[in-house]
Amino acid sequence: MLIKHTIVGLNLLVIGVAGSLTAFIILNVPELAAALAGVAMVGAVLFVVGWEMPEHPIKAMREEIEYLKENVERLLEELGVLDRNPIFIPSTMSTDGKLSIIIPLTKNAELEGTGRKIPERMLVTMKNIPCLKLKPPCLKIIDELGVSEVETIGQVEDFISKTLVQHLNIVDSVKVATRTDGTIVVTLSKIKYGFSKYRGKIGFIITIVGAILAETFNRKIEFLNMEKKLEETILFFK
Amino acid sequence: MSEIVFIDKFLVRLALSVFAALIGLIVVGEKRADVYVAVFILIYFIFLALYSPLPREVEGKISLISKILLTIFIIIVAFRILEILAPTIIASILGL
Repeated sequence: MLIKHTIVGLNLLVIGVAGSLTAFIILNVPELAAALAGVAMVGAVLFVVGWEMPEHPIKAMREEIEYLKENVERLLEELGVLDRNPIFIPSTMSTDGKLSIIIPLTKNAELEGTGRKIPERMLVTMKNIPCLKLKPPCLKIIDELGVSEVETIGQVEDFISKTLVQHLNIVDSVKVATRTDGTIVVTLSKIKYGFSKYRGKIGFIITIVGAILAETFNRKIEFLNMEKKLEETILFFK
Repeated sequence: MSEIVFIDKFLVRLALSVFAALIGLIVVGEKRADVYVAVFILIYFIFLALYSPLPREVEGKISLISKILLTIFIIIVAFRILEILAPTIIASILGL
């Protein structure tokens, strides 16, 4: 419950209903009655939102996100894969039936030499190449939206837009296009709240877009690079 | 976090639009309260469509408000239609 929303909403609702009835029946002023009816309507919506929405400790969440982000980036940097192109595997091609991100570790032979080992659940071997396996973000939303193989690029754009614009509200708009060489170009305009501030190629938005592309195209998708033009961020996948 | 920002935007814009409609109708000299209420309800549904889907937590109760407002809107429109088609029925309902 959001206490402030609920209290303000309830007050507006009571004042609105009582005031509009008084203004209409006793005072006979339709404009005032209508204004208070509007107040009651907004108050009712505010009250319902305040009553039903769970309270999020916003500052704690921000701190937690920063903490997790920084530590994940440090771990990836330590493994030398921060700038490596991630590959997105759809659930139909994954051994455990879940969407996953794969990052090849071919240049990390020195890890074995120093005796350091990556936990097995994070490692898969593809064509004799050890790869780091990560879980993409927003799997619940992807599952909720029923993201699956589609036929047109418009449907792909629709899924990405629903996730980033409507559900997460961290991007203003999304455009998806394909080039003749098979490159998928995803243009995101106005990334909000600093969600683009990730080091390397395994950022939050990139992984969501990559995961949705893999699922909708039902094939492996590799992230190539990112370009920034004014307020637009252009992501290239293949 | 973003859900709260999203719902707050919806609420603020809904309130501002209702206020703007109220001022507009007062300026044009509208005296019928049902016209004001009908316009407010239309604005509510426009904003609900623009900000759809709302967070899952509030969807259920918001749909209850929508049903109530839709019923009020239907009653207002029905009265207006009856006023044209059968004014005697309106007079008998209102006891005039």
